[in-house]
Amino acid sequence: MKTYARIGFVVLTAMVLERALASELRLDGVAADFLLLITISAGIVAGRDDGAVVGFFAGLALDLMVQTPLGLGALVYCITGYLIGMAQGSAVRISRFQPVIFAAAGSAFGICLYVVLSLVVGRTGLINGHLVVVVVFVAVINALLIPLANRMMRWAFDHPENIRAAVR
Amino acid sequence: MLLVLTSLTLVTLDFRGFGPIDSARQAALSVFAPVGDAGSSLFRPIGNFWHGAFEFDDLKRQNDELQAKNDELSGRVTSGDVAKETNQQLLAILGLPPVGDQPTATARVVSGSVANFDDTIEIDKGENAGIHKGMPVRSGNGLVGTVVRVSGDRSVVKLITDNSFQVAFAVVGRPDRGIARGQGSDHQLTGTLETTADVRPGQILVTTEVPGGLFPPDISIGTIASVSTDNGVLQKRVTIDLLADLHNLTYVSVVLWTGAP
Repeated sequence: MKTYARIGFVVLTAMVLERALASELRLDGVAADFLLLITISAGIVAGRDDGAVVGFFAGLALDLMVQTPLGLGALVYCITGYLIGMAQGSAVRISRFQPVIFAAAGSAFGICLYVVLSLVVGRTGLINGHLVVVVVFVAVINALLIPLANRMMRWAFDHPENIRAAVR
Repeated sequence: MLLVLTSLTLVTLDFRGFGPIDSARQAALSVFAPVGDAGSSLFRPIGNFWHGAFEFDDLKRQNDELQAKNDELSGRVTSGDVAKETNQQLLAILGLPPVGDQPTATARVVSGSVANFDDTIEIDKGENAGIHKGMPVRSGNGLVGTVVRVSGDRSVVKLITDNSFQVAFAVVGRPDRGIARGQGSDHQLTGTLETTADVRPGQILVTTEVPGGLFPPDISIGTIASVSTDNGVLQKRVTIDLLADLHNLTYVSVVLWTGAP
């Protein structure tokens, strides 16, 4: 119960940050994606199943704030969280930079999947030069913030730092 | 798998216009309004510093341009008032209803787009000010978008640049009509007209009333930037430079227009 409350708190915090910061701090029209960040972090820290659950609720939170079809963000972030958790669990070696690489790759994957599924549901004009800027910017920001997000997620899941997600 | 199926179900329900989903979004809009305001107040100084640091040259240039425009427009307002008065008198003589005087509700823009790929803004007026879903929104310069979500004291406006946005337009001084569409660009639309249309760069486009349409006539949209003919589909394509500056919206007016009969 305590864990659920903490995870809810983390998702809510990311939602508030997204709501308050994304419209104020933009570089070339691109905003950071804190909800994708915590999704990736959940996959890294807690594994694929918990990554998928956190991703689902983070995506749902995003869906409630934007005009895209409800469930689209939930689907994308759920898949992203699951795949990041799977990649983390199957990694043979753990390096210090692994979370940073996963954060950058997971962000790029999440955004591209979001765009592809948006096209499937009828949105057009999303694939252009600006998409590259969005992918690079969000990947860099999330790679920089992943240590902080992981610390928060370990607190939420009550996981000590030295236990791998793969063994859970 | 269960979560994926749930997501797909939600997408399907949303497409079919499932009522409770709209209610959930309205509730989220109301609940997060104060949270968003508090956050924006907290982070706006950081945002101002951010924009000042990264966009100083742009802001200085814009300021110079705006001062020059302000001088020019002050003169035009006076002659516009005279022309409007004359127009109203002529309409009264001919027994025609006045046009271009739709009631509006002025609102402050409290938030820009929340996420990437989301062309919306949030304003601080809602149902309590008579605003309803589908009403057009304009700035002093021209059309900005339409209201897509409303709660008591908040509304979300889909910007004209959104890929799903369409508006019927008329060319000022010409009988030609066409459809303009958002294309994701933050300052341009694309439009199509019949090949017989006589249009040139620089001409001004305004909204036109169509049966069942969402827009009243004569809200300015933009100017034609370029024209090309697509012989394959027998259409002329135009690129439209928007008159409204969607980057610097502080106040907007919601036209309290409930749609053409």
